[in-house]
Amino acid sequence: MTRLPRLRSFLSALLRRRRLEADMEAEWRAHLDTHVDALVAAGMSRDEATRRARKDFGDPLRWKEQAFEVRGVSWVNDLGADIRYGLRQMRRSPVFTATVMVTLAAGIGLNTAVFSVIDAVLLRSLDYPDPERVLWITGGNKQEFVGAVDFLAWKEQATSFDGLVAFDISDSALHTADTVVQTRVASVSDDFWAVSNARPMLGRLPLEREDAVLLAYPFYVRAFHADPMVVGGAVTLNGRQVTIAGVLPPGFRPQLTKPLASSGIPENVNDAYRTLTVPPPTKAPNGMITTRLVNVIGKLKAGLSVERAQADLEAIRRRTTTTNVGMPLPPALRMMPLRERIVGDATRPLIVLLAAAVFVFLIACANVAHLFLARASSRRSEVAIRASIGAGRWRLARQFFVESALIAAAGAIAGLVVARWSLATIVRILPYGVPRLQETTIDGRALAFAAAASIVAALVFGLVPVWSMWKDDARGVLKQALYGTLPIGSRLRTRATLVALEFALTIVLLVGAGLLIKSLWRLNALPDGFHPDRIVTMEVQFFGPSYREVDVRRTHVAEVLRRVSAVPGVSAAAMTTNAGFTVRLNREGDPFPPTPNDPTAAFARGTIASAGLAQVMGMRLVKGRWLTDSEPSPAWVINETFVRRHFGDSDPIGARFRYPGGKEAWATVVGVVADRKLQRLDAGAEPEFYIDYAHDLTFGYSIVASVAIDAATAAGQVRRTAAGVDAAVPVLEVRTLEAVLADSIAPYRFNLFTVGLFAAVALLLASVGIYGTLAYATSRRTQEIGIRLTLGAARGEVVAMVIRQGMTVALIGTLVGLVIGAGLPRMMRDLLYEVSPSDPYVFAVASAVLLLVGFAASLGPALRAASVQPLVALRHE
Amino acid sequence: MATTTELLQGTLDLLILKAVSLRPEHGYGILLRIQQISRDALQIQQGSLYPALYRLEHQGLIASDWGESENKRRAKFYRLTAAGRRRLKDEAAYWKRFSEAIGLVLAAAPEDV
Repeated sequence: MTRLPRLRSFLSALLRRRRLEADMEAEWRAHLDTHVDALVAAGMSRDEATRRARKDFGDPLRWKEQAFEVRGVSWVNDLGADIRYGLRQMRRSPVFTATVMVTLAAGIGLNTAVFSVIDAVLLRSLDYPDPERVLWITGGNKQEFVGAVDFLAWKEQATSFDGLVAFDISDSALHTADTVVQTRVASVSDDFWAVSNARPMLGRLPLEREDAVLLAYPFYVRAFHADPMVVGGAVTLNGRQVTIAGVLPPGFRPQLTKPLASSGIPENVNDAYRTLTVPPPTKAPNGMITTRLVNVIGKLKAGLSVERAQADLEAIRRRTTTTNVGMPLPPALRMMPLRERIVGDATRPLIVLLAAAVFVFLIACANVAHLFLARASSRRSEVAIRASIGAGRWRLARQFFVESALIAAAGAIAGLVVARWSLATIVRILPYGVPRLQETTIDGRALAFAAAASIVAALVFGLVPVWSMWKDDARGVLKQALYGTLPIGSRLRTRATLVALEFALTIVLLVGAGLLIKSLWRLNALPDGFHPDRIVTMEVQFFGPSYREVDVRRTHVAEVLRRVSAVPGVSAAAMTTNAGFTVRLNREGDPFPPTPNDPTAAFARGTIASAGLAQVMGMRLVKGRWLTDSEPSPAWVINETFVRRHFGDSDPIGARFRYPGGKEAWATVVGVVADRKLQRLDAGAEPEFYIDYAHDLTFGYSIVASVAIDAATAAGQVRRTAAGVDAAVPVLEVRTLEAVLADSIAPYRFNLFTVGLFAAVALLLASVGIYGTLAYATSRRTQEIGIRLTLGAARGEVVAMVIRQGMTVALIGTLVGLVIGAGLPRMMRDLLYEVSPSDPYVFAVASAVLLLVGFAASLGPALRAASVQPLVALRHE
Repeated sequence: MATTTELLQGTLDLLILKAVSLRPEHGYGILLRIQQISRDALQIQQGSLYPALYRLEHQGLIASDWGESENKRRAKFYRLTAAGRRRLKDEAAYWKRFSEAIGLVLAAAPEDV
């Protein structure tokens, strides 16, 4: 009943204060006048009566204050005053305010951004209905594929799947009315449409056994200008006519392979989905079974375990392999959630990044804590004075609370800005193709948590000055504060512990960053004579029946190389297949030649090459000679690792290996080259061989040309020349080799950039911490230092004393951190290249850097202490 | 000053409610009436009446209107609301019981204890 009028009177007191005051004054004037009249009537003089009336009434200011209090609005007015006071305080100590804000912003912002990215990568990256039931099934033992023989048997007999999809992804040439476009085509077997819940927005799903494609929406717009008339028509894909059955809606993008950021196509989006009819295996007269290899995903039946499904598939495979093929059983299948397969690579670095962000966050909280502690001590006398002239404890507590809350809120807002910026940066530079990463938004829970934690830190430590009020009586504190005999020991210990903690956390980050720097440095160490910035590379793909014969392809390669070499600015041109295939080694005269599926067989990576490759790539010949373009029989040039592993100290020249790819059975080793990284900087040296292209040629190859002029200009020239040989053979992915290499180490650069950035932030915060603590401690010891100086201490000794104090804390923190650090980088092993996670050199340098920063931060307060004037200091007393 | 009693807040409230229950009254009038009712035993600073009035008004027990006093001054007149009337009744009943109890205690003979 009485609630509404109360609210009304509360609000009018709040909002119409002036009118209310005028009202009261009028009322009281009437009261006084009436009283004066009454007194005059009783025989008093008017002056006397007026004085008397005033006295009887009491102090109107007091009544006015009470009048507002009874309406419940005084706290609002006080809050306003507190906020104004707090803002004034913030303006008065801009350095303090800025430091707290930056610290909070870094802590909140980085943490929120990293957490948001992880959330997006781990939880929201798979576009399938029931994504947790979609499994990736591989042949195990590093093999990515499954034989079609198994797939067909599973499809027929397996009971634990709602659908099994065989697929294959390739870049194909699609001829439209006016041009040829490179098209990423996913060939998918018929269960795909159900598993991915594909619903064409135009047209229909393909019929059974129909050779048809469905276009992804972005590709439909890009290649066909969103012309609906193309649906139902035919296009030429890799030289074959296929029907465009329909167009899939814009949101349709189920992931099939691990997206490769270096593919040049963002997020590895498929442009078109083509029907795949898995062919049954064929049996040659000699009994050899040839089966197509396919990638397989399956949708698990609801409620079944992965183990159960695996047992199901293994049992079928055992039956099929032994009855049909008569081959020994390959290693066990590997089944994992498709999500893991797609974003697994990105997960590990992000976890490391999260750890780094949490470290920065902890350091930030510690810093906020001792920034406030430092301030608390400088404001104790203020508190004491205000308390002694009558400010209530609650009133003071509230005012400090408001002040801390203001700063914390400002920091949280700045944190939001930092979070947005870092999130955008991480999303832009994350080198792993994580599906839908671009859609990542700031995670509200993460932001709320980080903000809450740091604000609580600010509030708790902001109230420190009032806490001591609670314990001590105001007069005692006032006396102590004014005469400088305040016990500061315990608070200094707290602060020293916080600083040591910061140093411990920072050293771990620094070690992490150091390990990554060393990795990158190792990766970038390029041999002399190799100038990837002056090598252009492009891909050539043969299509169609006219290139079925190897001789036709060879003629094409020879013609392309002849013409490209003649392009002005090109100094040399060659073809290569970039270690694109692997061969089971079978050396002539080996008493135990390896059998198919022999688990002990040795392998080497093969590259088909032309005579110019050694010159273009600047390869160093160690022994024998390089390949020519007119070898009489298949010739191999092998690398040093190959020699070390298979020849030891004996001479490899003249040795022969069975070579199944070529027309003749045996290939002869004619030379040895030094180990090189030609395509991926992070690949360790493996046994490799190069074979002349006259004796083997696949359906695709790369042109590499070293150029003397601007690589971009030359690249265009080379591409046009190469494409001019036959317009039906597309030349695609034109880049400099430098770009290819840079892409191959993009993940390392990402890790280094992020962890390095976090380490730098941590270093900065830790140095602010030690600087603040020492500055505080020395200012507290001004008198002591003054006495020492008066008694004859040298200024150098004072400097040394302060620095010793700072370095003790720094050293303890660093040592503790090194112990933590010795265990932590284990999680970084996967992120490193040719660097041990406990590399002593990195640990030493990181410690040195940190201690140096600690020293530099101690120097300022130390010098200030030494410049104390003894007399001034003593007058402090 | 011996007759001055520290006014309990509740007592002042009760006196105000009683004072305005007879007819609408302005602040000065309420003060006179309280002095009259209490036979000058209760001395308060005149101004302190007003926060008490505003509190009761804030609680919805009394309401006020501007009007003209008997000596032609503009004054604010306070009157009892329905809620105030209920409160006065409850309080009066309470005080009555309380003073009866006190009276009984004081009137008790030694043999009753």
